Amino acid sequence: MIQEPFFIDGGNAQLYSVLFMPEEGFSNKVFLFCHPLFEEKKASHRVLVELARKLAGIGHASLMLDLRACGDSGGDVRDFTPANWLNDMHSGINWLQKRFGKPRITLLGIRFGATLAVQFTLKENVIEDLILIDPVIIGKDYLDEIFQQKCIREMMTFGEARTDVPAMFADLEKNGKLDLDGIMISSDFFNAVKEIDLRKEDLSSLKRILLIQQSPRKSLLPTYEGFQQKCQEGNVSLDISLLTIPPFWKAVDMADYDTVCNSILPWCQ
Amino acid sequence: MDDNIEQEIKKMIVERLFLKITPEEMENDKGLIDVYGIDSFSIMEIVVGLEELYGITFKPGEFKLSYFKTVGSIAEFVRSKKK
Repeated sequence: MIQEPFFIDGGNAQLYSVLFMPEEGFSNKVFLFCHPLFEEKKASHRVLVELARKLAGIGHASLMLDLRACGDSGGDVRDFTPANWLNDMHSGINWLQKRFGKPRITLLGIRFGATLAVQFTLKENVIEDLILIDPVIIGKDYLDEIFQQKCIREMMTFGEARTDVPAMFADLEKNGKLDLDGIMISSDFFNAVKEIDLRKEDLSSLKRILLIQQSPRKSLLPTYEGFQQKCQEGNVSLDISLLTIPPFWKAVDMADYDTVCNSILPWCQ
Repeated sequence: MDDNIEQEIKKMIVERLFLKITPEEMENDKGLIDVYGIDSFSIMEIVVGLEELYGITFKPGEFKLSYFKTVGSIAEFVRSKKK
């Protein structure tokens, strides 16, 4: 297996990327991985590496690309926006097409990365398959969650939260940026994310989706039911995998890589 | 009904956090962080679980570690919100 790190030119930011591919027997299928944000990115990294290696084992190539202002890529707080990330994904796809000709492309996204994968596919008609792992469907809920998480981390450190969600919203409004435990987010990021609701999109241009839910629930979460309904309305092929395991993207300890990989690989044959 | 709150909370915690113990094995006064290994991600799960179970939302100023120390302290918090 080949594992090759390099930078892709993303215009005004260099995008750190790693290509995984088989040494021989390439299937002409490529995957672009869309990582989640914040702590979830760190927790997901190992699963993505394991998955890329397993995909290479069955002939497929994968590109792990750090979106700008994330990981090892260039960019700063002003670049930390969904619009820039969609451009970065475009740069990644262009690179894959230059390298492999006309491959069959799958986007594999985790959490907010999955949201970006859907948005990208709706915008650009080059993606055949989508693998969405615990996608963020409603942007406002996601922002509430990451802000609450900051309150909880403060509570764990100081005994009680030093700020609260309304104060953080006000802070963003006033200063145009907010420190989320070392990662600065801008009001551009906030305003773009709070408008997202995938249940309100016309999904009919999507082709084939695998939705993976990792949760103690044995049934689909209500927000995913809304997404499922929109897929049905648009005649989109949607397969659902319900994994009753702890979500790897929030795992502090060793995650259950095998169950996740085993739910994905048969779909990718 | 109020007597069941501790049991309901234990069941919710065990299920949501995939703990490798049964709800019956959890004790009301044992530290969630020290004894059961609860971290900040886990507390977020408990917050969401309480919202689903009891319709409780945490208001500004209510993220206090004392509420999340034990099953008993969470139950007390729930009772105070239900009054």
